[in-house]
Amino acid sequence: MIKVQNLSKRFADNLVLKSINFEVSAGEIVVIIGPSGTGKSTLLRCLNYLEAPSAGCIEIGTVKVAAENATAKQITELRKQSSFVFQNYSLFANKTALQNVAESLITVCKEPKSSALKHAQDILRQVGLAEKMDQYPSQLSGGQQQRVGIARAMAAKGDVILFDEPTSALDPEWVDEVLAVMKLLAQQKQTMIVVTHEMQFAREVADRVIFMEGGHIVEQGTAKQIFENPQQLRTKKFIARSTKSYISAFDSCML
Amino acid sequence: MQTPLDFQYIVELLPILFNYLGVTMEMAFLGFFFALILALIIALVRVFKLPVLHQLAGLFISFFRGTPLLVQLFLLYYGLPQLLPVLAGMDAFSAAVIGLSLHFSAYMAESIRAAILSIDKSQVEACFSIGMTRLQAMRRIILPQASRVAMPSLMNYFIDMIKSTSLAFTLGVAEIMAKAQMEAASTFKFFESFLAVALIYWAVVVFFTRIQHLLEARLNKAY
Amino acid sequence: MKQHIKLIITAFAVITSLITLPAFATQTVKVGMSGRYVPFTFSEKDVLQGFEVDLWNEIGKRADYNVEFVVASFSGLFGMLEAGHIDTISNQITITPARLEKYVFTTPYVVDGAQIVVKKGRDDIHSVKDLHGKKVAVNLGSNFAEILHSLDTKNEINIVTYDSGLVQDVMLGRADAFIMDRVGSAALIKKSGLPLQLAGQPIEQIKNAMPFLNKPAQLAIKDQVNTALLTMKNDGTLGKISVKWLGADITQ
Repeated sequence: MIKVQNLSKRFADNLVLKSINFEVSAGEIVVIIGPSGTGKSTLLRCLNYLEAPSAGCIEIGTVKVAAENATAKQITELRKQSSFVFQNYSLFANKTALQNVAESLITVCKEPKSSALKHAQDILRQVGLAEKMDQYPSQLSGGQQQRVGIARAMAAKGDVILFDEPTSALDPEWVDEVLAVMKLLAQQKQTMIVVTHEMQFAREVADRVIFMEGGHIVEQGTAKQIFENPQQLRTKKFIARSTKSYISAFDSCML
Repeated sequence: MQTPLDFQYIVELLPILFNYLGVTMEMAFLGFFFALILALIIALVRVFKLPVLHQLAGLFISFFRGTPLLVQLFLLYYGLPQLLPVLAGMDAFSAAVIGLSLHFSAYMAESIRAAILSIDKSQVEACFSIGMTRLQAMRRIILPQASRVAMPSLMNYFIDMIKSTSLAFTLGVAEIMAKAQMEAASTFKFFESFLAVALIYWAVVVFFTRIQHLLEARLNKAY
Repeated sequence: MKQHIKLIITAFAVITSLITLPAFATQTVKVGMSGRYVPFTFSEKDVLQGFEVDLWNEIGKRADYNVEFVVASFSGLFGMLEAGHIDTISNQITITPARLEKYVFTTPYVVDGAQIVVKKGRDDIHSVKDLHGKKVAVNLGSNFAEILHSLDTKNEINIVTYDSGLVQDVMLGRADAFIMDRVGSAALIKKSGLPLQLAGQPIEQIKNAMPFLNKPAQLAIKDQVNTALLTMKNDGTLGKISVKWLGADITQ
């Protein structure tokens, strides 16, 4: 359903993505892990065309866009095929939680306002925030804002939801409630591509794990394969480092 | 027996001037209305960097910010009709409103542009992520937020415009400054006449400053 | 029934056309003036009045015009004439060679003189010679600057043009004298009671008339105005208006 071919992205002198190729099937849950600054977020942002790739081709569903001759119309169409959950939530500051979720339905899908709002309310209920629907983002906690962000992405009727380190900016107390919503989506077989440092989540939920470093896909496989039996040396090093910090964090909780 | 100030005269003059305040305020409101529309268009052209229009807008801003309002009014009312005889039918009031609109739109466009650019990039990114076009993002999310930022600056220009209407007397518009000038010329009570009109301008500005504060409080409460 | 209605409608149409016909025949003439030239054109208690106003109300009656007075600062009046915003200027416009090159004037309706006016009590200024080295105020766009320049062959007079306030400056002592028309200045001093006085004899005779653009439509109006002026001169109306505002008949 998603096909990425020879995707490259250059920022000034810096080649951040080096000819990436991969595919995602419908209903698959893909988690991308790797060191910071390695292009994971950039890759995700390219998929939603929040960054314009320097070269390559992106195909989501029936929409295909080649970086060399992308038109504004094509780009807008491609963006509609996926929705994005931002690290810093990026909720519309001048809209309530309900309006945030309904925005794509009203403006992009041109649904009549009353049915859009009802639809939005249902989705907010799914993420457990029905009673906060008339609050503005400034009145919500980080975890609540992110859940609204996910609700907004759910409402956008895209084929895939892209998560860019959705819990990295949250206080630890809010991380679990957000991961819970994501797990719910996973159960519903929503196609998801998640960039995260939450290894436990990856282990539990991912159908496929991709390890990226230095702008390349180094290794990919099932969660079991990557975490328990990484093939590449770089993958091994990364897993070892992450697991160690996970274990020590776990230990300190136990005390 | 000469008193330093003829208060009686000022008291008698104020109601006369007040009769023409409507003309002053009509010019200010119409001028601001058209300036706002024009400024919004120019600001969007500059923010979206539309080819050709972007450069034209830059030229427009440069000219109307770079030349005095008085010169612009004269060019519009005395100069242009020589070039385009059809414009001879334009009356002084219209010329004043057009001149004020063009002049202030140049400044207001920059205020609006700055306000738009001040909105965090993440807001427009979120718009794109759900598939909105640039224009939809502007209309639904960016401009509503930017208007809050631009409001104090734009209100400032409105107040400035109220006072700038005083230049319209050079075109022959019968507004309060013209009346003050004429009464002064016939009675030779220059200080009293201009003090009276100054008081009226001051009162009007104080009134609108109050409105500005109320508006700001209201807007800031929202979210 | 139908025939009655037709008759009523026709009668109605005829009557209304008869009523509106005169309205169509009345031409609107826009007359520009400064509104700041006591006693020729000025505004008191928001009523525009003066010599020029009475003059044109009379011309309007005789030539069957709807006169519209357009008031603007003096310096802008010629610009408005050029741009076609007004048909003529009625503000004691002096006929000068320079102006004759661009405009066509009516027959003169005022004969006056250019006059030096100084602060009351001064006795050091009696003629143009005495103005050497002094600061003299003249109205922007007026012919008085021209007259002074032509008399000041050696450029010894500091001539300063004002848009307004030249009377004020002489009173305050910021300028030594101003030049304006004699009769107007006399009337001004009488009316305002300001500490000013006429200094010496008029330095040059001036004839004032109304300028028109050299275009067929404008020339037609000019001719009509000339006709009206002539009849006003002959039956004494012009002289009466002059005496009313200026205390003397300066229309000959």
